[in-house]
Amino acid sequence: MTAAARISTAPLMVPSPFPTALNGGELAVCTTALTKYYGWHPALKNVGLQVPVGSVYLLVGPNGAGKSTTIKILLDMVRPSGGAAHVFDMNSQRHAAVVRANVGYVPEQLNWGYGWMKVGRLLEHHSRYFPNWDDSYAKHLADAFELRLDRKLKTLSKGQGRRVHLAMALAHRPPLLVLDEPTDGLDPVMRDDTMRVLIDHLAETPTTVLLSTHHVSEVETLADHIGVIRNGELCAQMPIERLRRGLLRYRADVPDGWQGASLFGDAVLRRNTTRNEIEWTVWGEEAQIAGELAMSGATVRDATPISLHDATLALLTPKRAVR
Amino acid sequence: MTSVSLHASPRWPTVMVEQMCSVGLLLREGAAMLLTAFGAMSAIGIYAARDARAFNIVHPAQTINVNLAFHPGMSIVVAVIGALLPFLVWQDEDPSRRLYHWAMPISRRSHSLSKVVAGWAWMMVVTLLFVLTIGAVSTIIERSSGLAQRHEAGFAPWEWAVPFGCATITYLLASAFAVGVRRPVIWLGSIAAGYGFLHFALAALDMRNALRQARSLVFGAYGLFSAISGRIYAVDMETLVIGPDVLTWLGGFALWTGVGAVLLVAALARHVEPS
Repeated sequence: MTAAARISTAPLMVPSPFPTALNGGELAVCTTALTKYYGWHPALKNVGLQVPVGSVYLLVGPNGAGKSTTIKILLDMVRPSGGAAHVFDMNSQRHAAVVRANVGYVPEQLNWGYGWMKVGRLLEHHSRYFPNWDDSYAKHLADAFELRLDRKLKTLSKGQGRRVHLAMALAHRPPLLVLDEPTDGLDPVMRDDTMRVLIDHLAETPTTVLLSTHHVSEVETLADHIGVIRNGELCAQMPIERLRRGLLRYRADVPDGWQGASLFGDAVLRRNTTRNEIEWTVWGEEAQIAGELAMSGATVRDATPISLHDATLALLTPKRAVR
Repeated sequence: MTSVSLHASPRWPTVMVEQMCSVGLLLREGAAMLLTAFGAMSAIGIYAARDARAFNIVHPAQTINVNLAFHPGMSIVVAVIGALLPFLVWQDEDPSRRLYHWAMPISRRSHSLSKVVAGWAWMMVVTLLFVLTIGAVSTIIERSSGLAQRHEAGFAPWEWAVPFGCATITYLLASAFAVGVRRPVIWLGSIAAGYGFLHFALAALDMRNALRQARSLVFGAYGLFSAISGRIYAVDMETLVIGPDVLTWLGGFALWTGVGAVLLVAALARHVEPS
C-alpha cells in the first residue's frame, strides 16, 4: 500500500484548539502537510511548520514526537511519505545541496562517522565545504567552546562532541541554524556559555534559528515563536507573545459548593483546586474567561502569564485540550 | 523568492581536492603498513638473489635463478588491495551512519562519488608504487647479482597496464557494495557462495552447457579472472590457456569495469534513512 493510500485511510484528526498557522510574513522554513511513515507507524501527520525569517523558533515535544524527523526532512536526510518542505522557498529535496549550504546543523545524535579525524582537521575539512567559512570566527568559537583541536573525534565526550558541532554550525554564519538539542550533554557552566555564544552570534549575524530542546527555560528570553509537536502532529504554533497573552494562570476565590468545576472543559490545561480557591491554567481570551468565571460565582483575584517552561508543560499534557 | 542573501554550495574541484586529502589522511596508516610490506618483500627478493648467486658460484653446474621480472599474474596483489580498500575508505560509515557525509552542501551522489574517485586515485598510486617496486627490485637483482631478469615468453608491453586495470575492477566492484549496502562482506560472501553452489549443482546435474556458461563468467576469455590476471583463461571446461591478446583483455576489462560502474551508480542512487 502506498503512503498516500495509508494517509487517506487514517482517521480524521480533531482540529487543534490552538493556532497552528502564522499570519503572513516571509518564511525561512515552511512545510506543507508533511507526513512520514516508518513502516506502518506514522511519525509525522500533516505537519505545517512555519518559521519566519529572522525568528528564533522553538520546537518542543516529547521524545519520539517527530521533531528530529521534521528537521532531517528539511535537510533531505529523511524523505517524507507525503507533503513537502521548503527552506528559503527552495524545495528541500530538489535543492538539498543549496539548502544545506545555508543551514548550520547540530544533530541530536553525534554518531556521524569521521571519528578517526582530529578536531582541528575536521574543522578544516568542514571549512572547505562552506565558501562563507569565517576562519577567525572559527578560531574564536574554538576558544569559546574550549575545543581540544588535537583530539580525535571518537575520543570526545558527548558534551565535547556537541561543542565541536556547534562550532561547525556557526562558523560559516549560515542564514538558518537548525539546532537539535544543542545543549544536551553539556554541563551547566558550558550550557550557559553556549547560550551566551548563541546570543552573541544572533546579535552579530542575521540568522533564523529553528531550535529543538527539552531545556525550554534556557531559551525563554531568546525564542520568539513556538511550535508544539505531539504524536507527530503540530498541535500549536504561534508567536510566544501570543502564547503569553492566551495562556494565563487564573487565581480565583470560589464560594462553598461552587458548581463551576466543569467550566471551559478541556481548555483548562492545569487545574489546582482547593475548597475555596482555584488556580487554573486556561487557554483563551482573558476577558471572556474572567467574565465566565465571575458569572459562575468565582472572584478572579488575578490572571498572570506563566513561564515558557510551564506553558510548554501545559501544552504537552497528554490530555486533549478542546474547548 | 526569498529576501535572504543565500550562500553558495562549494565547487566540485574544491570538494574533490579535499576528499583526496581526507581519504589520503585516512589511509596513511594502512599505506605505511603496505609500504613496509613492499619493502620487506623487496628485501627478501634481493637477499634470495644474493643467496642464489653465492650458490651458483659454488655449484656452477646447478645454477638457480631468482626471476622477479614483472609478470601480469603479480597483479593479484593489487587486486586484493583493490578489493579491501573501499572498506577502509568507508570505515565506520555504513549507509545508515553516513550522516556527516550526507549533511554536506553537495549532492549526496556527487559527494559519495568524489570519495570513491579519491580512493581510486590513491589505489592507482599504490599500484604504481607496486609496479615501480617490482621494476626496481628486478633491476637491483640483475645489477647486483648478475641474475637475468627476463619477462616470460610472449610478454607484451601492454601487460604493464594489467595491474592498473585489475585494481580498478576490484576497487569498483567492492566500492559498489561498500557504498550501497549495510553489510557488504555478507553480500559479497553470499554471491561467492551462490556462485559456488550453482557451479556444484550444474556439475552434479551434468548440465554441461550451463556449467560452461557459468564457468566462462569467471574463467572465460572475458571472465573476471582473465580480466584481473590478464593472463589465464579457459577455452573449455578442462583447459586453461595462457594469454589473451590485448583486444580480448581490453574487452574483459571494459566489461567488468562497466559492471562495476553500473553497480556503483545503483549504489550511489540508493537512499538509506539514518538509523
